[in-house]
Amino acid sequence: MESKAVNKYAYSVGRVRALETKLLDRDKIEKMIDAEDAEAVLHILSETEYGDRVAEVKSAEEFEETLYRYLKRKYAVIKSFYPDPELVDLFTLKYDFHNLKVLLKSKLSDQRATLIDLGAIADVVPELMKGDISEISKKLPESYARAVERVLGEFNISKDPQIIDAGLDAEMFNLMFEFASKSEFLLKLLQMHIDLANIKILIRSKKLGKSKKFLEYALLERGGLPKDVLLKMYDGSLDTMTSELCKSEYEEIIADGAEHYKKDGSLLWLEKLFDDFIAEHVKKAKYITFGLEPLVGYIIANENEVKLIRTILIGKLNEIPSEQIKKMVREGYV
Amino acid sequence: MISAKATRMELLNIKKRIKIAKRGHKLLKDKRDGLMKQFLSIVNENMEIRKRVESKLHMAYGSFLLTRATMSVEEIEGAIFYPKKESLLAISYQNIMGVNVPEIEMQIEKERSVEYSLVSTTSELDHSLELFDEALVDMIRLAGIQKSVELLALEIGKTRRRVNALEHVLIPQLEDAARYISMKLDEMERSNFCNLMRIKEIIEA
Repeated sequence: MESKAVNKYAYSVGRVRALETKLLDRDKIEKMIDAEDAEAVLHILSETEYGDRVAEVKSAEEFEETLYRYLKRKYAVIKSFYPDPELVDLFTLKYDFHNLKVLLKSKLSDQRATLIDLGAIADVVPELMKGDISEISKKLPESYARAVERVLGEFNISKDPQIIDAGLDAEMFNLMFEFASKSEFLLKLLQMHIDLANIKILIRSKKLGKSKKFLEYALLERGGLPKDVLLKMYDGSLDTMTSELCKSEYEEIIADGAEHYKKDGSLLWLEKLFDDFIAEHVKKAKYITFGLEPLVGYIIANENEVKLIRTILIGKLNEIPSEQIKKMVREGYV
Repeated sequence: MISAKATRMELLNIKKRIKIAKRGHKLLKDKRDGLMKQFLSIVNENMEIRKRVESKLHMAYGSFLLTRATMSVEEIEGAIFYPKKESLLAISYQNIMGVNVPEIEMQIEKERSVEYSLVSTTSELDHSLELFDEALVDMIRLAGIQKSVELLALEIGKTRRRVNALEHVLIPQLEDAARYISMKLDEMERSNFCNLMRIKEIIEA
């Protein structure tokens, strides 16, 4: 590696390494899962990075609301020391597009839903909520505006609300490819994301009995598994689809997920395996000394950690047995 | 006590009223019994559907809890707040012994509409929405039946009050009045007879 590149990343990788040590370790996670109630979970969290947030809230119910704020601060910290702050935007695109979906749907249906205060356009969106729908694309950064224009154009023809979500999903991944174009590692990661999302769409559509036309629209482009191959699979039953999918690089998780599905008819386990699969892939890159890999790993680990806390907390608040929580909780990074 | 002039005409009138009241009483009593029968069968149906709705809702909430554990409030809300599903609500009325009771039938589109993103939501959401759909159809039916129970109960109460009023108030009062008039008439007849006897004696003396 060139010395310039080494210098570019040396400091930030150092910072990431230091931050990584503060992620929740397996021991703490297990303690949280086995905790008696939500209060006990908070107690465990109070000794971690989440301590400040825990001190802020009166009850466990409130704590969940602070999780996005926690992530927001984490992203800000990373952006402050990282040489390519745009990289962080790649990971907050999903919040941007959540906000765009809520924004468009609010405008079109005259109803309100909550925005997530995260991402590059989080400051602009509340403002746009008040304005007219025609204003939206004028006040957004160009790449977002293009996505909104295209989706709205399609919506105006068909008046089908599904266009908004599916259309913006497709646009989001297009943007992600733009952001990720510089790094082989990110492109591979993105491709994996798309494959797993497509597999999820394929199986769920089958379960919901959706038409092939729907699938054609919903499936994402540019995955490792080509769209037309997936579409062809859709003609078969769920079983043949599973065995077809087992021929791909995701064989192990598909087989494992299918087994669980046969037992309890739920795809929760498969979805957990998907997240774990990506986490595992990122983990492999953890020991690359200089580059963006450690940072990507750290960001994904943070996101998974927040998901994990949410699952445990909601589980505890609603008295879901520890065994079941354990099944839903994603693997840790550390 | 019904005030009545003690005349033969009045007596005939009251006797006619008693006859009508008794016939009305019998009819209303039959109506009450008929309503009761219908009421009991509807109440049983109501209980059955209520139990079904409760167990379906229990399952739906259980599944929704799992959805909630894997997604944040914002994500769930954002996914489902603009639904496109269309459902048909048909209300027809059925006449049960003069009571118009509603029958509400709900039809939900056959193909499950998915207006939310399948990428950013978890599969448990599909499952819980499906369960809520099923529960909703029964809940709507339950609403119709519940209203029928309420209307029938009201009508039964009203009919029972009428039956009781006839049986315990109007008919006894009319019978009292009839007895009073006939006694009064008898009394007048006797006094008339006595007068006649006395007049006869005076004339003969």
